[in-house]
Amino acid sequence: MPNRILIIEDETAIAHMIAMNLKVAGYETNIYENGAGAYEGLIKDHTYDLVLLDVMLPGMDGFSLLPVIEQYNIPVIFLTAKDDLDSKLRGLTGGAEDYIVKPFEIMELLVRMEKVLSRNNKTSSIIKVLNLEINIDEHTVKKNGEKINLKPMEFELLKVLVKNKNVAVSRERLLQMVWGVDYIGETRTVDVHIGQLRKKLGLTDNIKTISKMGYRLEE
Amino acid sequence: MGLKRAGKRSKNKGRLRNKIIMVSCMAVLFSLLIGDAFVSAAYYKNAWKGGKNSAYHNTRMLLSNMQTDEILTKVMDKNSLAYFFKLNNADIINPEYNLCYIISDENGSLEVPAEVYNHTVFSYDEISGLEYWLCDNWGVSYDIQNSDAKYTMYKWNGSHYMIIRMTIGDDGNVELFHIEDMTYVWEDTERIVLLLLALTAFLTIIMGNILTVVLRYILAPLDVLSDAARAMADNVYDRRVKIKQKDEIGELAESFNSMADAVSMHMKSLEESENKKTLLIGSLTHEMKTPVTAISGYAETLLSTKLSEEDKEEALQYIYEESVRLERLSKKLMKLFSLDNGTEEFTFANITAEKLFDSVKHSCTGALESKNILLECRENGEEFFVEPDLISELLINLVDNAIRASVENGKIILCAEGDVISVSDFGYGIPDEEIEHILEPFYMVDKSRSHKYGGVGLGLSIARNIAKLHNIKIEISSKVGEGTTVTLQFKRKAAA
Repeated sequence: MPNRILIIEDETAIAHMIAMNLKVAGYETNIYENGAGAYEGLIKDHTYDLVLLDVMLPGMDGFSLLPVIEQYNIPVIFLTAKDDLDSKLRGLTGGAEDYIVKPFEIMELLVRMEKVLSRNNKTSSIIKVLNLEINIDEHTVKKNGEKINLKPMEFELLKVLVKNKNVAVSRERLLQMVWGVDYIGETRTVDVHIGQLRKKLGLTDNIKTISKMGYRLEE
Repeated sequence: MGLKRAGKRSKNKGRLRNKIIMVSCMAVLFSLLIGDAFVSAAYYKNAWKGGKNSAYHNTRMLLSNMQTDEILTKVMDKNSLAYFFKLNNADIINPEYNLCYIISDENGSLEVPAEVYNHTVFSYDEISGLEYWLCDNWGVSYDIQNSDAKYTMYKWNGSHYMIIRMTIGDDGNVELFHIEDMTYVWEDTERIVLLLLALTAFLTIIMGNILTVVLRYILAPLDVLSDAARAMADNVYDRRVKIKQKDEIGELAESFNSMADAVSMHMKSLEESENKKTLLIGSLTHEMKTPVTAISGYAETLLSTKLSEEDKEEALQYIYEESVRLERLSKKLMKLFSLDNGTEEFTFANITAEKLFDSVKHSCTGALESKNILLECRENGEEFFVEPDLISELLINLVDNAIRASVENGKIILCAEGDVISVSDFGYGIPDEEIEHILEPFYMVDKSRSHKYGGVGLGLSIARNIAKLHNIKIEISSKVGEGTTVTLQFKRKAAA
């Protein structure tokens, strides 16, 4: 079951941009464009796994909405143009899980969201993609119910691609996310492992090479 | 910094006072000394004259005493004289010269008959020196009336002697030399000079002290002024000096106070405008962040994510809309800044309300039609002396706002009456607590509604600046749910 994300953001363009990306990444989204509406909406339906909250909202601002959301035990990430320390402290000490300042990159938002979700045990350990079933906890991959052996690094790489499915991830970022920041290696390493994944899992058509951007797992 | 200034201050403290005192004392001392010199010279001249007179008088007295005395006979008698001198100072005086030396004592005592024999003052060497000297310098006539007497001065052993030569005896072959001690003339003069010098020194010191006290009082305000000026340099602008002196210093204090007023006013206005600018830039950054975030976010999504055709189109649509918004923002900002800086030149002209309203109508047609709003213009041929383009802009901004505040199928009234133009709508209205803010840049009563209809939050700020240029008073009255009326009170009546 996909995670449900509530976006409270008064700028239509930004709200829709986030929603568009989250949808592609496999989330289900709902948008409220003003604080008061969000407040009323939350009373009726609060089965969200995460709230992306703007601070400056018409009707009721993000800081006042925070305790309302907290009472439903939904983790909150602030997403705002206010980048002064006071606001950041107020947001984070007020109970928000994270504080992201606009302008932000989608990739960063996705990673941070995932961290918050896993911290709050909102992520399921089994991810189903195409004909694959990936069990994060057991470190196993099944293709059409048949277990396939992957080396640890190949498994980590697959995990990142699956979590960012339909989104292109650059070789540098993959290197960083899979092998770690300290890893001193060439992007060739990534290419080799991608080749292994394509071969072992039969994903030659699904793991696309995007010129200048990197790789993308397409569903 | 502060320490350095304090040091500088103590170093120069009282310097001006000391300079004035020094110069004054020098001038006084100099004048007094010149006076002293004159007084001393006059005294000396008088004392010398008196001394000479008394010396001559003494000689006469001596002579008359001699004549009444038996000594005189002795003196008159060449031989006895010679005998007398031979007896006492035979080696010293040559009687052939027919000279008689009579030396008066220090007190000028003329007990000559009894003592003349005992007054041998000169040694042989001295007498010979004296002789020589006497021979060389005779001929100075003592005075005209007593041309029988001649005198000369002789200095010996630190004392001044006057030697008076007088011819006595019937045949004139006996000369009397009377030596008078005149040292007292110099001594008296010296005493007087010393006294005068002491007096001069005393007067100078007294004057110096008086000047110190007086100048300290007179110049004290300068320290106060200097302190205040230093305080001002350290950014304390509310200090004023309290000096009520009616002189140049008082005037300086007054000027200083008015300067301080001007500076503090200027600083205040600078600070205000600086604050305003900071606020403006803060809001501007915020206003720009949203469209920039949207544009870069959609672009990133388009580049990296596999999207459906529908989503792709939506993303592009948003990118376009947000860039238009940025462009609008930059245009409005340019307008605002150009008005703020006053760099543009304006030509004022008479224009009828009808013409103004026509241009407003023309510019707002699109917006009016999109919400199906009726713009009602009321005027009676009023004329206004204004810069037509700016006032049109002002009215367009007001009508734009009215359109944004109106519900669909609403009505807006644009009305000219006397010196007043008003724009009324019957829309959402503005809450009381927000009315005072709505002329500020980027202030929006309902941001999402404003953005939806293309507002960037600068229209009323531009309107305010235009109004300021024209001395127009803007008044806003509003009731939530009933509508808003903006009134422009024109100061200048049309020059008919």
